[in-house]
Amino acid sequence: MKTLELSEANREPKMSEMPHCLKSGFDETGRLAALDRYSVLDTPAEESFDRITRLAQSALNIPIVLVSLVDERRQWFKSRQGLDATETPREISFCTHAIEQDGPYVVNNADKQPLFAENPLVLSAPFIRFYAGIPLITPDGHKIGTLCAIDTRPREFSNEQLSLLEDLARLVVDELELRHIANTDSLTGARTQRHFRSGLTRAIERSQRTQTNLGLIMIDLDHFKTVNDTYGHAAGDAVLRAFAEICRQEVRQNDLFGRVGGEEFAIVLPDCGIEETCQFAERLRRKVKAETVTYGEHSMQFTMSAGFAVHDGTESDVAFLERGDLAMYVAKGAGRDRVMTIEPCELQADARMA
Amino acid sequence: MRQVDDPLALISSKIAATDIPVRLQSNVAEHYRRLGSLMDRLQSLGMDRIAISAHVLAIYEAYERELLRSIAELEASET
Repeated sequence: MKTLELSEANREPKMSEMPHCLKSGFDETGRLAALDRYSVLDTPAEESFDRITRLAQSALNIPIVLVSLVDERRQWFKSRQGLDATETPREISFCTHAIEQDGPYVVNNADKQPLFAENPLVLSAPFIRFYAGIPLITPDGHKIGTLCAIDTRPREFSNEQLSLLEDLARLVVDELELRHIANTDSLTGARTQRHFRSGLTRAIERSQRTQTNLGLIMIDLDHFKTVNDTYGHAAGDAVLRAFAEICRQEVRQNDLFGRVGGEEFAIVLPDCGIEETCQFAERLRRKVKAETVTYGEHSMQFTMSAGFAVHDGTESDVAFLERGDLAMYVAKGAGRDRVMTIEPCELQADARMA
Repeated sequence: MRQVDDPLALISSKIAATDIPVRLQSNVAEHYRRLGSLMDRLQSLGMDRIAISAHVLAIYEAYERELLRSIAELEASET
């Protein structure tokens, strides 16, 4: 990862540039959740996005074009032409201002604009003078970043040029949406199994890199086959949707929630140790037990069994999932409607005995 | 540079030949519509037809690769 180098003298942002100065009424929490749903941050470059930025660079005859996604503390570039940096701090980014707009945000000469004149990106490389950013607006109205064009000399864009950038920004959102639809289970809104697995792998890498905890909960709905057999598959679907809704209310922005089988789900909890993971699983179990699902004239109650684990810092994603799965089956075997865990040392002891 | 007289017609025939799940159909339709708008815009900015055709086809083909991956992903998750 390459972060844009800034000289020490230029590192301090101005107060007026801080994200907390976002316009009142700006739904930052919803915006970050929308960005998180795409699971695109820190993923490799892709030709689909690079084709769009290259076209913008060529058609607008401009040195730098970026697909910039504005995270809580940084802007990260999914595609970049003419810039080596992969991200910059959010507080100095022009895009953080652009996402407050509904339309194009244009700075014709940053050097002469008080808001940007002392910005490190103006005073030092890449020496931004001209900036035009179009918000990337999700179908539910959140602005998760921009498609932006940058020049190192002052200039202006015509309406046609801005319209081209707008057209291309919509294509960027189409691309993100396409991936999102394919990665989302249509019934429950949870991540698909494959997408969950890739998210888990990234979460493990992150926890190893940052030496932070990573919790995992594997969940199976108890006697789900009986629900299907007794009330029909549509009733079973209503139960799955109700369960997923409870999970969505409980998970945090950075947690991963996936459907990994018919009635099997999994939740990954970054920065959660054994106690927090256990508490989360137990809270979920109680909420599920208290839920009543109404389908037609039937009222149904259901329970869940869960196995939880905290990554030991070395195990593979497969081994981590298997440990959580095993704990879940132990919870099932112990009578269902409970949460249990298996420590890595217990597995090792079992292996030695075998 | 690849030369196609009518890139939108080629893209349209590619879309018609693909079995697109219902959940992805509106995304594909929107993408196709936007490519049409993009062609008009590039033309009004003075880009020559051969370059427009090459750019638009390249954008669609990159999208198409992701579309086919997405279709496979949806089929896998529904079995």
